[in-house]
Amino acid sequence: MAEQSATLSGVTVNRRDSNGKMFTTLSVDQLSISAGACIGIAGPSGAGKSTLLDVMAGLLLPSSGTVAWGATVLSNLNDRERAVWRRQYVGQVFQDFLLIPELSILANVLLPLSFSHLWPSVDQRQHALGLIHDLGLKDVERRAAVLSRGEQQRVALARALIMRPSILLADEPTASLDQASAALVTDLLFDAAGRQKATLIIVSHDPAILSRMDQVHQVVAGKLQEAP
Amino acid sequence: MNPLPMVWADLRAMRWSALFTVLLIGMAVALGVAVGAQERAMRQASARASDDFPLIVGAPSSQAQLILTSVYLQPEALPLIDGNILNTLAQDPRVAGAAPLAYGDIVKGYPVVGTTENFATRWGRLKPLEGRLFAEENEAVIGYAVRLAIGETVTPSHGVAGHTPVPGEVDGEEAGHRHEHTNLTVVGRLPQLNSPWDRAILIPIESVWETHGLGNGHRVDGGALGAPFDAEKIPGVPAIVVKPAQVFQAYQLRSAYRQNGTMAVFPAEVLVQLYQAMGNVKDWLVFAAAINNLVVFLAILLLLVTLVGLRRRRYAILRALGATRSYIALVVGLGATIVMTAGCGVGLLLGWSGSLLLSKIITVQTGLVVDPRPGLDDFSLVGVMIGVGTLCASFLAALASRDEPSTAIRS
Repeated sequence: MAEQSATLSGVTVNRRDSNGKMFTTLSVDQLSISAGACIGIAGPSGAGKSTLLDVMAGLLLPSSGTVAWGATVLSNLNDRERAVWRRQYVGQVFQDFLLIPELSILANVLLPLSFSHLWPSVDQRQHALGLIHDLGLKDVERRAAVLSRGEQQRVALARALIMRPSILLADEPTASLDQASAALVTDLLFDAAGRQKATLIIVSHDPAILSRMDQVHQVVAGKLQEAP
Repeated sequence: MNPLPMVWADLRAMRWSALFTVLLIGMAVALGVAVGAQERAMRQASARASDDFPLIVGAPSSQAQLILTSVYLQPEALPLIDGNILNTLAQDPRVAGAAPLAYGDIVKGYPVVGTTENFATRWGRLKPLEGRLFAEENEAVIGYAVRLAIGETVTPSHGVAGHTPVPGEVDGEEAGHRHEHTNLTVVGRLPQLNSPWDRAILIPIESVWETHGLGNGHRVDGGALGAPFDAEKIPGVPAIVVKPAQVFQAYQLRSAYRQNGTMAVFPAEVLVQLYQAMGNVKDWLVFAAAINNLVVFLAILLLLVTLVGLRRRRYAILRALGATRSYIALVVGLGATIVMTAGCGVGLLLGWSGSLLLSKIITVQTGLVVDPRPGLDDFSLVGVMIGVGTLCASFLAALASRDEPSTAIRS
């Protein structure tokens, strides 16, 4: 798996307000992230942290500037190519977990494979079961809807890791968890990133998480600043 | 790619809406299928019933009534024609067979028909399933569905205008109009014809005449039954079934007996006119069913648009995880197609079942065995439905994958 470094140059994201007037929600002059680094993104609510993460995941194309992961410039890819790139290289964890409640733990974890495979191979299934086991989850046929919040976030983490991504993006992964679950999920995230030598970028307000990062950037009023 | 896990999840998530949609489509499709299947079955059954009546000669009146009374045994007092026509027809080289039909009496609600052995056996085609044919006056051979036993003796009653007897039941009207001096003994049972004639009691025409005080049509009593009849003694008859020797002669006979106080009709020809009328009615019913289907589809489309709108975030999650727009389109399209196909399947079953039920009712009421079967038309209708459904699904799929995932996830 290729390790991934990121470079953001002159990135801006503009939106229209309710009056149709254009305003800038995110502005990044320059950001370089080395492969395998652990980067924290902090800042007040509504400052543009999640927008930055979406731009880095290729979910949102910037109004100007470039986002490059290794040699891949995301704005040069079309919608389908960006989806395939995300599937191959990016694992994402969301604050609200965003599981499919009607599917089982195992089916949720295997879901990204269904975008490209008819059926998971024996190895892929074993990998999924291994991840679920490592994350301390039991009874893989339980539906996601009946899991506790801590369990749901662990399933979401297993889903993010199923494709063995070289980039791990997490948006407030512990914000809706109790302290014990938050600590567990944080450990699991760092372990997984370390094991897979993945570049880890976490948006968080949690000092316990931010203190473990190699580097922490602040987003204030849409402007990225390096933390002191 | 494999959209099935997400299709399953979607169907499970909206199971009540999906079930409601399947039932709604089912009912819409059932209406169209039932109309088509019933019309086809009625057409086949009525054609089958008229097979034994190539040409019917009667007194000038309503052609439809002559056929309804002769072929479908619907009780009605028909004007009589001169009985001598029977002798004339019997001597006509263009005629392979001619038999009188005389109606009016009933036994236990079953119509009693006076005729000859020739017609009772359909000119030799039928043999009694049990017993034998009538050989004397006051003997009767019964249709397959008549609930009388061989050897049973019954007394016929005079049919009364406006009375609608129920087959198998003796009502007050029947009990009050007995021909007290006439007894009929059942001597045989005919095989099943799947027509109203399965409920008929056939007796010699001479018995009908005798019962009504008209003599027996012969110069002496106790002679052989059937033609030839005595020209001076033969009473009038309501109808004569004629079997022409050749097809072209059928047309000659019809022309010959369309004048001089008689009317000749081909039941098949009248039925074709009836089918045309039925066809027009069917066209209107199918058109009404199509409009109904369209309205239902539009309602379902609105429902699905709403559901897809509610699931914008769900599909955005899939895109964030690496699903392409085509995967989302496949999930939405396949889900909608499954629901619509299931609805069409339910509709076919409901439509055929409804048609079957209606056919049973028609059989009970008329004796005409209507046997609805799945037809190509039904599948064409369902094909159109699924085609329209797939178009709707494609529209929904385009709608579902249109959103920017970043916006939808955080909506």
